[in-house]
Amino acid sequence: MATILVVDDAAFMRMRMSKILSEAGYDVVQAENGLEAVEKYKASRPDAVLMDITMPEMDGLTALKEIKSHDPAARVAMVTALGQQQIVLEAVKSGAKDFLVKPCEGDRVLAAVSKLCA
Amino acid sequence: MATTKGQRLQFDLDDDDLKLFCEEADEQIELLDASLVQLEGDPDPDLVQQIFRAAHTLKGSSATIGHKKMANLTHAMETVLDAVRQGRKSANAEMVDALLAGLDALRELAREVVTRVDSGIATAALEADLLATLEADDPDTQSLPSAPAGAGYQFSDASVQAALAEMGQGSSCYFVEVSISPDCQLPSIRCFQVLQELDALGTTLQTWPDRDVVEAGAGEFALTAALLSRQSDEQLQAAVEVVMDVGAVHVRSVPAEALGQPMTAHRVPAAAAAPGKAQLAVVESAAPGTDGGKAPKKAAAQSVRIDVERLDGLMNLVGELVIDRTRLQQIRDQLSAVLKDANLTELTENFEETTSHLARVTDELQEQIMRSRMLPVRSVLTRLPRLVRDVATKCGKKVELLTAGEETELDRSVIEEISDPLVHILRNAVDHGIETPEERRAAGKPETGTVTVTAWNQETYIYLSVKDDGKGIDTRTLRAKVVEKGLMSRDAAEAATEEQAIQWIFMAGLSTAKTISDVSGRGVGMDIVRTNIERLNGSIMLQSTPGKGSEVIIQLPLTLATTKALMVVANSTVYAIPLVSVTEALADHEADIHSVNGLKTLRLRQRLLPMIDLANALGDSRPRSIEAGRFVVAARHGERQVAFTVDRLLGEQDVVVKSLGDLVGNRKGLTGATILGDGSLGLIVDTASLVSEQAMLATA
Amino acid sequence: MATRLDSTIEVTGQPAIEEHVVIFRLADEYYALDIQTVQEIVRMQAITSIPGSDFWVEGITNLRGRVVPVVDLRKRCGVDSGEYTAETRIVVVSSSTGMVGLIVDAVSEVMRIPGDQVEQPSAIVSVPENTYLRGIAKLEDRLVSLMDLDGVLPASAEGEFEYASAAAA
Repeated sequence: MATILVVDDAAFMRMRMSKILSEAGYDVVQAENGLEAVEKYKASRPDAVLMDITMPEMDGLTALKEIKSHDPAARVAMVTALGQQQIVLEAVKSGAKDFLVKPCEGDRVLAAVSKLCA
Repeated sequence: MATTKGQRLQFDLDDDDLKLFCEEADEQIELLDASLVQLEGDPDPDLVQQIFRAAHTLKGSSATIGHKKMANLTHAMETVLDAVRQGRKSANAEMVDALLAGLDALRELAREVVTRVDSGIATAALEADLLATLEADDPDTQSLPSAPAGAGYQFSDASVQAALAEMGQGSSCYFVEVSISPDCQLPSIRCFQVLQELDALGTTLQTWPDRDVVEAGAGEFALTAALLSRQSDEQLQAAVEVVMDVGAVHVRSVPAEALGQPMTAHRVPAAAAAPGKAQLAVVESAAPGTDGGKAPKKAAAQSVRIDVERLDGLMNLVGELVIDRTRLQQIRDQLSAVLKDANLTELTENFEETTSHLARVTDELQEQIMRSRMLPVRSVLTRLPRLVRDVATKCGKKVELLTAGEETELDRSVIEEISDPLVHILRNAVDHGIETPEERRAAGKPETGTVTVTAWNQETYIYLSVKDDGKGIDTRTLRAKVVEKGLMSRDAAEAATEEQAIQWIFMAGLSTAKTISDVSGRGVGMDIVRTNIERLNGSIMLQSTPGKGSEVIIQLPLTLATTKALMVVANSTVYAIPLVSVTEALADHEADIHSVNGLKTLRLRQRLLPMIDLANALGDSRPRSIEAGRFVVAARHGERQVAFTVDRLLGEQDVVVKSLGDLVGNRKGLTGATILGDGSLGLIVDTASLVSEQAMLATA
Repeated sequence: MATRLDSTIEVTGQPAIEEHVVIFRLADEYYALDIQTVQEIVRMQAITSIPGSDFWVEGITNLRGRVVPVVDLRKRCGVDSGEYTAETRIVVVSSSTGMVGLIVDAVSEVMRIPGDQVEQPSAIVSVPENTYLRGIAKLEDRLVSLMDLDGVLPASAEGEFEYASAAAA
């Protein structure tokens, strides 16, 4: 089964996302900031990444760019709060495949992930 | 031809559109005026492009509003300019003369849109002159037929040229219409992703809305693109459907011969497909033809529909910025105090420079965003004629309502709040101000009374005036009334000047109509109107001349989102007291404090103000801090004044007003909360209600 | 937001089969809130009290720029109030009166409770007027009360200031 990297600095969000995904049978790797996300990406080569935008250490957009420069085929969906439209646009321009708007419903997350992994 | 002069004209645009149309037309005409003369000889290609675009824009907008003469004339001008632009023709004196003659006529034609009276200008001869300049020495000048806008998506001439060139080489031209699911929260991003997919498969010639508009995040739920591609329509369809939230996709190929023709929309695009959940604010009011796919390219570039929530979000963000700015200024002051001795003047100077620049930019940003939230007051005024008619019928009066300044703009939040007070004042004017037809006849006035509602802006305020030509306020009745109701002693009532007496209309518990009519209702007086206006940090004034009529003027701040306040601490809680109501703030050792009937009283400018502990007045029942009551803040509401004692003064600050939330509701004496520099919260004092309540308690 | 979530449940059509909840502790008792209503869980932070408000309203707090009212759930539920500890949390929920923070003694876990383990409150607790609960779950080691958010939080406080007649137009 596919491996998903869940990146979010908020433990609760991370937990919720991970739970949704692991219950659907995915393997989940977690990271709590952009820097850790880049490292974990390199280490575990996940099939898809769910990336929060606003995070300490390294934000989601920078992390996306790092990951893309390391692996141009990386499949990343940005997880955004409302009000970050321009950042999401920038992310899509930088190679993000999709985005999810918080709060995310389970079905929505799963649909996005299965599309990403397809 | 001149026989049509003076006839009434009708155009397909409402008042909102009119303003935009005129602004734009003036701009383009000015541009043509300044640049046409430079066309002769070997002009700068950018300039030619600019001139062409001006004519093109004028053509589009005049066609949209149904101004045929103007559209035909600009079409002729555009045709000539297009030939110059494409190098098929170079401009000579004759051509420039014809264009300038056309321009003069355009000016008149544009004015017709405002006056709605035919100016009698004949355009046929001018058009012939223009086209003749093309035929003169080059008989095969034929610009591509460009049909007038209005039927749907119109390809630009540049698109047509590009398409024709490519289609010869195995590409097909497609028209791709995509709608985004209404639940999608960031539709613009989906549209952009669709564009990305299309870009990968071919060359997009043109999109509706424009690519810039999509990237700016206007929130459109539909996208239409004209695309040159070697792929099949099925392949395009499949590629677009990969993007999440994409609803219906419709791809059709466009035959070469149809390229110059306007394309009709397959489905209703954009706005109409948007979901019902988002309330849309029209910023800068929509250009003619934004809806329904008429000339969408032009319109979209000039005004953008923004979700109100998004606008509120922006306003909140700027609010945060304002707070940070204030905080930064505080840090700057602390820093420069600390670093003064450390020989780090360059550092502190740089820091100071940066913070003051940030402060300026923040102010500007706040101003700009506030402007984008502005709506014309028209939406409130349009309710009034019906109201006046109803009230007048009920009272058996004849009243004509005149309104002026409908285009005066004010913040959405103010618009929402102003409606009720305005309606109330207007009811009063009709019910109590205007006389019956018989009374008016007897007084030598026309039977029909007039009520005029006017709105205007001045500095950072908006003013609304309700003026009637009725009987005015009868101060004799008023004087008798206040005595009868026990609101004043007979001596005091007699001693008051006319001006003072008129202001009693704002007193609680006073109704001037001899009987309580079912129109003005029971118990709702001008005192409540005043309280509500002052709650909005506004003020209300009344002028009246017996026999001639009355005028009520409301003054309101342009926005309710932020307010200037004096920050104080009372019993460890930070409060913001709106500056409009603060008359004086001083330390208690500077204050002239007396004991009157055992109550602490502040003497301020010949007035005695009851001194009230702010925390107590608000119902703070926690144990008091030791430093209690070392400062005094005098605050007023209308004629009433009280002096609040507080523990500390923190200075003036711009505060962003936030609601306390439904759970807490409207607490007595508080209007909301605000975020302080350190992230904690302060409470905003509702001086209007608190001052009147406390002043009343003190006199009781 | 709440309405969106509600509609999801309706579409699924199987609300009773399983309860997906956040479990928290108040004094010695465990309570659960539907995870869909929980927006966020934060540590105890500065709260500004509001003079004259109900005793169980602790005040308001700044949640990343939003002013959120905070309710002391112990006081609201009539449990003896205790000291705040390192485990004290504010559970931010989205209710019919907007975002509200609930102070709880500790958040223990997120879990799914099978529907057949949930009973109506009246079957176990003989307090018919207890509107805070919508069910009791019997887990292996303890009882968990399923809290009814709308029961705990009253409908919005009445605005005391109203425009009497003018609004009628």
